[in-house]
Amino acid sequence: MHQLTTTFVRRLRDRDEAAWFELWQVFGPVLRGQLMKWGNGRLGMETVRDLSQETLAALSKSIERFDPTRGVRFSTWLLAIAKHALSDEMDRRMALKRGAGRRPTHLEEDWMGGIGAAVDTQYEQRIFEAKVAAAIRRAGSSGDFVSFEVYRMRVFDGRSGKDVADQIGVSQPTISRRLQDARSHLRTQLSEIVATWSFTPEEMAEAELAGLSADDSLFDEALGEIWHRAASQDDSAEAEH
Amino acid sequence: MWKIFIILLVVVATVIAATSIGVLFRHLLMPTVRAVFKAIALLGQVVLELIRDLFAATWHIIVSILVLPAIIGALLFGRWESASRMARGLGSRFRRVGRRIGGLVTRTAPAAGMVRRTPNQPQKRKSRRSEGRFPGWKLVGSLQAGGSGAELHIAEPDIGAPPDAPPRVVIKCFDVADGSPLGHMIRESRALDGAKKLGLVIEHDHDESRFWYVMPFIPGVHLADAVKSIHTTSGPLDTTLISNAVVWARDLLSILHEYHNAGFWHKDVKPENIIINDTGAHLVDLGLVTPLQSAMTLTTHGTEYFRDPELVRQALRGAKVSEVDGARFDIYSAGAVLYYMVEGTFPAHGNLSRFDREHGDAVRWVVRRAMADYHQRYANAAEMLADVAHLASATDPRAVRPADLPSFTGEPSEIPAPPAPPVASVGDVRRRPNIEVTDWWSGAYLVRDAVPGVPQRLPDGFSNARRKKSEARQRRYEERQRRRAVRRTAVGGVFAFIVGLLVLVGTYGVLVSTRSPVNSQQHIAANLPSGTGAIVVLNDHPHGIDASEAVIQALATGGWVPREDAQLEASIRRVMPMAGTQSPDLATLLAPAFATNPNISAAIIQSPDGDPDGIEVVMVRGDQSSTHRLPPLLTKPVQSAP
Repeated sequence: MHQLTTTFVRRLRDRDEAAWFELWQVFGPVLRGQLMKWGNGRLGMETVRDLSQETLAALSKSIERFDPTRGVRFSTWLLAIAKHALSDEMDRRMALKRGAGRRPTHLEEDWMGGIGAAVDTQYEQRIFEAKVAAAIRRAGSSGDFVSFEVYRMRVFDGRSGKDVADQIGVSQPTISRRLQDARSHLRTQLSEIVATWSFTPEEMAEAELAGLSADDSLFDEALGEIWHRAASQDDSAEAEH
Repeated sequence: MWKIFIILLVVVATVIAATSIGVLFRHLLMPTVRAVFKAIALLGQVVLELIRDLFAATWHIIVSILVLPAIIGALLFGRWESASRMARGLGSRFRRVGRRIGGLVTRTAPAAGMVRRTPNQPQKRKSRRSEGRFPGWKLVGSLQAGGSGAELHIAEPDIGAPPDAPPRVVIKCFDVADGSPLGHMIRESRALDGAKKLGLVIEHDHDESRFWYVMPFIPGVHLADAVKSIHTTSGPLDTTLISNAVVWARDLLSILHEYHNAGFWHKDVKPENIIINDTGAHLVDLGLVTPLQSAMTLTTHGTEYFRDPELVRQALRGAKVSEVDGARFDIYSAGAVLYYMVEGTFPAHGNLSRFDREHGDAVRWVVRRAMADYHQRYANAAEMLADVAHLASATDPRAVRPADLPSFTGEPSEIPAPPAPPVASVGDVRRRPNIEVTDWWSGAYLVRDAVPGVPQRLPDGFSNARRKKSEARQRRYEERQRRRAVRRTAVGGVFAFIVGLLVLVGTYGVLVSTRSPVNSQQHIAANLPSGTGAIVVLNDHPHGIDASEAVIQALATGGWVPREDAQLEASIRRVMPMAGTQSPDLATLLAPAFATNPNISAAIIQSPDGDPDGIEVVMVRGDQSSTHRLPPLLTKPVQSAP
């Protein structure tokens, strides 16, 4: 397992709030989307938020028991906790309807040792897109602002190099240079994020399969596509809200 | 004439009956049934509570009896503390027994259960008169309370107010008795000194349980409402609307620039805290204003989407306010507000939020630069203000390139002054809306002057959008009214149909009930002469219309004694002309028949000349005869008499 992964898990176990915030930023939207999907229209946005927070609270209690060496995806584990939080909520609602109280059940964690834990392909795809979006966010915040804007205009907005050069007021070679800088920075951030949040060899290979290890043009194309897909999914979730 | 009268009577009776049934059902039957059920439920509850009290009292007595030997034992063994503890417990049980028994005696009234169920309510506060609540100020209205739970009053200067006080102010009052958290009160009180320096607070005061401060009143609409009215339709925004948004952003940044220069940051810049009016945009709510060099720990207060994530990170890290640059957090919020204005939605992804409308690259650039990473965004409000002011001065902000912005070119630019607060007028106070009911039947009403604080004239683009929205609202209202009218017509039609049906049924019933071979004895009697003596009735109607019974009854009513005399009838029929044939002198013809019965008269029913369906009665007595026409009342032929 990558050193970054173990370091991050250690930070989570040490109750590093910045690490938990980062976790919330990366997985929060996916978690909310998944809960919405499970809720099938019966859960309001506020309930979904509460449930996602309960999921993270449950995660913080059981993070000590998470064993990355067993080869189970962190995201799958998170999904199991979310499912438990949701079923607890549903049981509570049913108990309220009956007029009786109900104590919360304990989280069953025996499954963590099982290699064949079921993987929700769509959910995992969203997790991967969330990782890519996190990498883009980090590149946007940690890299040079102008270079990242150039990359955004060229790749995400699909503008021509001449147009971008005209808007920014620089020459086209400068645009190319800034584009290269931003791309390079993005690659670095992407590899770091993927390494941090990948617990299995399959997860490590996801970026390569998505075309993010290819040459510049393919990298830009794949990144733009993933970014737009992730953004539109988040927008639709916000619109539901 | 009598038929119309009967129909009217049936209609009126039907309507009265229907109305009476409805009224009885709605106002008498339903409340009675409801009251009966409620009384039964209450009675059941009281009985259950009595039973419960009885069981509980018994249980407490049993436990007390069981505990008593244990106390005596503890006393004997010198365990004073245990004995004392148990004795206290025993006392407590006896008190409970007392209460239970008291309950058995006193709580027999139905209201007892309700009294018991009512939780301990805080005492209702005495209504306080507006005068004297805030010395120097006279309350004239109120505003909707914000998230802090404080009361917001609108007031005018009174005796004792500062001489330079504006004509209208807002008083924000925290009252512990009203449940205002102490933390809010302390936080807001900290910001007051700075706010006074900025002229945002006129004065502040406190008493035993309250703390309040007085601010100038700024009439207008919330930016959130203004933005909603701008973004009523999808697609590209009008240039004027973008210009307005940029101008409002410029005003906001001018105010923030002043805050930062005075050593404070607002910390809660969001559309709900920005008021738009004729003079521009104004920032309100001082709830979170913080000194930039405060030694306090940074908190995560603020509003999602408009709060910098970096602020949350730093707060979670436990950073002090003085260790960060609070002005940059305000700049992030200003960028988020600009995004909200031009996109009409929340910036859910920070500086990576997607732009779906066409605003030009420069506007996007400014938003992204403001919402960029903490270290990469505008260094101060003046820098962002210069860019926004450049956009605001452009004829078409869309045409401006990022390369033209002062932050790009490095050209110094003039910092515009913040907009002057407007002078409030008497009509600016938000009062109870003036409602005029336009249709009592449907309950439709119009709200006149619903929000008096909203200015009548706003910047052009906004006015257009507002007008369009108003027109759309009017159209929707008219459409609703039209649908209501259709519904009402349909309901009225159904009602009229039912009434008409009832009328028809009633009329039919009346006709059927009064229908007889010859309608109405009174009519017949009126057309026949009265007299005395025996009379024989013969039916000689050519169409077999049998009016014999009716004529006999009418004659009997008129004093005649109808008689059946087969011989006389046979002798009359022998000399009578053929049925349907009129004879000018029937009396002469019948004279032989009456020769042996001179005291008997005859009434012969036949048809008038030229009217085979009509009826006439020829009265013959001796050698005299008279003909009496009856009204044509018969509707169906009957078997003629033999």
